[in-house]
Amino acid sequence: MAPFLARRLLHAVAIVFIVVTFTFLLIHLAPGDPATAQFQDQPVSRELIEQYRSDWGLDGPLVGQYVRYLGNIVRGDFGHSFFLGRPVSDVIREALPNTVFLAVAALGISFAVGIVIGTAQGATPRSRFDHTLTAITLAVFSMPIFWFGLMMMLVFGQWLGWFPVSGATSAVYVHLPFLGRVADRFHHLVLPALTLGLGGAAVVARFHRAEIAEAFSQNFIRTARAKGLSERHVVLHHALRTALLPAITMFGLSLPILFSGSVLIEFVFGWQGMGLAAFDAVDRRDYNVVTAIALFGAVMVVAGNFLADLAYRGVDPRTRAA
Amino acid sequence: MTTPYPRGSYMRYASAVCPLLGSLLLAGCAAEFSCEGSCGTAVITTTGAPNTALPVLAGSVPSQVLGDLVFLPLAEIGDDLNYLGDDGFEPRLARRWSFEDSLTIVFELDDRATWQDGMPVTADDVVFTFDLYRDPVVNSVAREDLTSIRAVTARDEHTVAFTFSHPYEEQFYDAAYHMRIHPRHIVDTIPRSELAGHPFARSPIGNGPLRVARWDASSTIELVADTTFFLGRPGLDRIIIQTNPDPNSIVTSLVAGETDFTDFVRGQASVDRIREAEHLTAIPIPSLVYMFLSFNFRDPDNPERPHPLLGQRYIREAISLAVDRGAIAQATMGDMARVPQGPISQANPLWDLELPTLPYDTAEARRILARQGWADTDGDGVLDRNGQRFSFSVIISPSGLRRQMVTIMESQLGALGIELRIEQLGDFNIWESRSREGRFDATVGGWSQDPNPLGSMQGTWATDSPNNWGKYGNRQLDALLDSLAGGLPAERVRGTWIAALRIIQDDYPAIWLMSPAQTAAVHARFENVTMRPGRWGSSMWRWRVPPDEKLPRDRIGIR
Repeated sequence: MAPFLARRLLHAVAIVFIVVTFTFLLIHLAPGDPATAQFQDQPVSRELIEQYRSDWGLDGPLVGQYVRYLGNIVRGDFGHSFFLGRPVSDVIREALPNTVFLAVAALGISFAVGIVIGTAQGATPRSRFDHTLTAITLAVFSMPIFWFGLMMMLVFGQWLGWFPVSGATSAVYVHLPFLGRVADRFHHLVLPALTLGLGGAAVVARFHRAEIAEAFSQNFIRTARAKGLSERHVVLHHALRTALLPAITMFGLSLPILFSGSVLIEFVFGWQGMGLAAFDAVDRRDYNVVTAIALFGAVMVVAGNFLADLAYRGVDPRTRAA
Repeated sequence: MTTPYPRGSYMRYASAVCPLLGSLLLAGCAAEFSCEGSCGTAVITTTGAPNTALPVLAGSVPSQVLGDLVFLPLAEIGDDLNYLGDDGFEPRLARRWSFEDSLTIVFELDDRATWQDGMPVTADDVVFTFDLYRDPVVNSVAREDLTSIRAVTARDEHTVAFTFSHPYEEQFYDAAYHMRIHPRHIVDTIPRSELAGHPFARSPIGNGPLRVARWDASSTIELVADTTFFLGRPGLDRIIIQTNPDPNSIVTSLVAGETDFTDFVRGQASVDRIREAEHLTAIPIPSLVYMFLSFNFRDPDNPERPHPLLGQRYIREAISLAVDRGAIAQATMGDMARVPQGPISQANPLWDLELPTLPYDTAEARRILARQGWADTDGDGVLDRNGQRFSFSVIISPSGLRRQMVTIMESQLGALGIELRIEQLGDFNIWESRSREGRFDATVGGWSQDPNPLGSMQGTWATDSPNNWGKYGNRQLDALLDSLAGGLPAERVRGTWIAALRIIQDDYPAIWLMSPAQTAAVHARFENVTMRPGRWGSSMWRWRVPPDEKLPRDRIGIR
């Protein structure tokens, strides 16, 4: 186990280093900089812009800036947001809970709905039910997520008035009693979580359907049926268990995808999380925030993979020898 | 075939549960607010987020608006935005003022004015504020607007004198418009290099009608009325500012009743949605922005050379004549946009100057080009001369409005045999960078002006100015702008502006496309709604909600 952990840790450090380096270089080499982005349609003087660059340490050679940045992040200092004038760690700490809340809810919806649909489809392959669900999941999967979100807002927010359409909480959130705040949070969560989760559920369902169908072709299923077990028992206790193994890997890999997918959802729903922070930071060329969020994303990918591997080793003894 | 999930059952469940859940959440768990007397909450949603509440650090409109709600100037500019003399200015921290001589204005502070911590606002605060704005370490965007003020001195606790380097008509405007007064007793204790990141920049002690009560993680800013405000109790208890970068979502939240106000509804379709909603009012605010298509005078591949096509005046003139700006404005913004006769925005006092109208005259454009030998000799629909095609490109930022404008222009110019190639760039910063570096034939931009457009004009169209992207230059124009900056008697200001703008008209450095009005949307329950162009926040403290039209959120009260 120890060599495995050491190897994975080395891989993780290498991946994070490469991501940070590329992000740092790409965002610094992209046209525009924090000083010009700050004054979009205002014709400010050259001196003012130069003063900003100098204050923010952007007037030196790029290599020097990079070495300084690396040194800082090794010490756990992600610098300050150029736009907000606040530590980047504060920006991330404030945005992260909203994204985690949304991602966990969406992940739950994705896997709960996806596994149920996939199992039902896999248990009745090539039936009309299977074809109908395939068409529906394909349609949901094909829809651009921002458009799907806008439609959800229009139908369930504007027309039916069931759910709020904007923000992670209502404007008067802090003035609500405790239970009101809890309810307010979940009320605001419904539309973005469903939008993000149902898109993911379509993928999980299609993937899981294939796994269930594959399991049904195995000898142990034939044995179970020959033993006279009910079809429900065969599906839930034999086919589903086997088919869940690959879903664990998928679960681990889905977490970072949800974080990246939440950029659009957070944008559409005005959900103040990591995605929106990243969007704003790229738009404002807020280098430190962009690089820190990329670093965070890389850590999430690595951690997701690592946890999936650990879980896989836990449930499948054949992988432990590797 | 049987399935464990009969079709339709989920929808039946959802249609029963969702309204129930919604009503439980909203009614069962929400607080019953009540307040007495003047109440009201305005929820504002804007696309851009403020990054500071301190006016001295504000570099964007959202930050300026926030600063306007918390800090007062000595005097507030009038709705007509007059910047010559003191006509239209209303007293704020200054109760009265006098022009002592041609170089000195003396302000007498209102002795009722206090900071939100109870300390009095004094002349020392004004002196300190001037020093703060002028400090290169602070690097305020207003710093360069104050260069003609030689000194600010306190004569006694409530009297302060501004001394100017030379006589000019905009002295009062310079003294009153650019600075909002900051508290010396607090800001002086903060190192100036650390001011932007200091907590005080997000939770300041101001002297205005509202104070910052909360600036939370989700960028929600809550301002609460200062009931002791010396100019009278604000009409609203509370203003909550939220940010949502998607303009379409903001419109949806307005229609759904979650938001009360947004300052900028983008696109005709969104304006129509606002007008269709009974509980909303669309309010046009004349803007201080004008939009233009700038020609590049230099060859983008070799800036040492003139542009092979657009470097010639008759070419720019012909293109300008061939563009129907009225049709573009009408098609893109309806009655909300007006066509300028130069680089002037519709809210600017100079808008009414008597300038010649730049005509739409395709026949004249054809004659000019034919006279110079341009003809479609190869029958490809594009004019040519000596092997050179009449073709140029325009770069635009990712904006639907700009795309619409250049698409109409492409068709109008195409009718004359002029090929306009549209290059829409994927990111604002890329467009801005290419424009700034002169890597374009033509670019479509928009500039925001102050009420006094001189600084903007010198920064954009004067020779070698940093934002003169097309490298236009005319020494006569520069001299006229310099004379305006140097100070002219009142009777010569208007004539000098006309002369300067006629030079620009005659050189055709750009096509002055439109000056759009900005459509704001506000919930119909608010009274006393007025908005000044450019700085809509400065009068918002006077809004109120009639008692019989209050929503639950209006009844929170001051806590």
